Amino acid sequence: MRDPAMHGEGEAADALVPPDDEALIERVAGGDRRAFRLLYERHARRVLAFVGRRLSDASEAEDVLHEAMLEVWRGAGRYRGGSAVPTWILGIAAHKTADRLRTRKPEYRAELDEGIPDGRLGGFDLVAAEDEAAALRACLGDLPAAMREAVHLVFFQSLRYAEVALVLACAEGTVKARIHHAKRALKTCLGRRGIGAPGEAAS
Amino acid sequence: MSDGIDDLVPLYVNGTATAPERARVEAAARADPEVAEAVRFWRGVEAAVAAEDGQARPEPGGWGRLERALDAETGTEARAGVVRLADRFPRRRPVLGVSPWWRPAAVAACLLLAAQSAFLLRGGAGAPGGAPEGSLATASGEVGTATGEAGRVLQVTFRPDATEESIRTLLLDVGAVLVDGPSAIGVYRIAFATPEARAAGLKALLARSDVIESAAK
Repeated sequence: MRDPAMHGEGEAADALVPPDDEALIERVAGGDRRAFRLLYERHARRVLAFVGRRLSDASEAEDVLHEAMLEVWRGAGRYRGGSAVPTWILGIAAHKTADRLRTRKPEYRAELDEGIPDGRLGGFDLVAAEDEAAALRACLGDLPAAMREAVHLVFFQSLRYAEVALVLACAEGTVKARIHHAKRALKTCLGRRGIGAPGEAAS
Repeated sequence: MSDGIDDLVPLYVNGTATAPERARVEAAARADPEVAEAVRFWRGVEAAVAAEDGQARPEPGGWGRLERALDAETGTEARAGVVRLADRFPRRRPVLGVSPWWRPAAVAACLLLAAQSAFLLRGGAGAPGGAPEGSLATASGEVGTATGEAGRVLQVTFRPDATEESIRTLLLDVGAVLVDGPSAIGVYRIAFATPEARAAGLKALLARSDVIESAAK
């Protein structure tokens, strides 16, 4: 079969309509580095945001992004379309992140605890928290890692519950529960700061 | 709140709800203030998450690092990989990213830079004010206080994907001029006005891993 990319036709097509992720993955599976670069440029930021959220270490997050994308290169031929490409890549990144977290000392793994936060202020600036948005960001930072991760995947990565479940290798019901608990925890946290949740009067 | 709506609201807010799901949430929000409040709540959360998590930016050298890893995996030299890529897409070469002619082009550009730089290496009788051979003189004719060249020169290699512009800008930033190169293995020699400037320049160059591959005395 004629490969348009090998004959320069793919370039013209790229200029008009960016290739979709599935097409890129197919080309990556065939060893096309240009397609891989497009895929990297399209998704690196999202993957880094996800990994960075989990690791809280920019340098380590870059390493995991690197490892995850390398795995995408190696495993592109195994992609079967069971999930969207971004979901598949995030799933790889989630595995790599979990591997990293396992190598950390036990005290760092405490963040995997799914308990409801106590609303402590941690290191956040109380003055900045007077602002509702700042308070909400602070409360997000106080969420247990598993809840924060679910919130990130739903509201930053714009995934549905089933997709989040694929990324995190858990049940869809677990994702729903985490979102539900996150909402409750955030409202509790905002209440303790004397700020009502967005859309409701301050308590 | 009606059954199941609580789970649908986040999907309504993140834009992944289907048309029937959207209609269901909107109808529920009109009928139930609690649902409308939930929509506002999650919208606030979405904005906060975007503000927090949207700041992630991959490091500039991320792709280059990945490409080197791919080269290492396939057991080829980085430059061989570059040539392969260029052969594969001959009509669309980035200016300096994948073309094998970038090194001579960079040299030519840097030589031009050298001519335009504040400092010129001048020798023998041509030096203003009878400056000794090998000394530094400014373009305006002032003789510098530099010691011998050995104390002012660094050996550097640039990243294969570094652009001429980034190289030029960096050399200007650190106050260096190109004096020799590339060698057979792609090493350039750059000179600074003083040994002190070289020390500071080395530190600055090593911090620019997006342009510099290696730098050493």
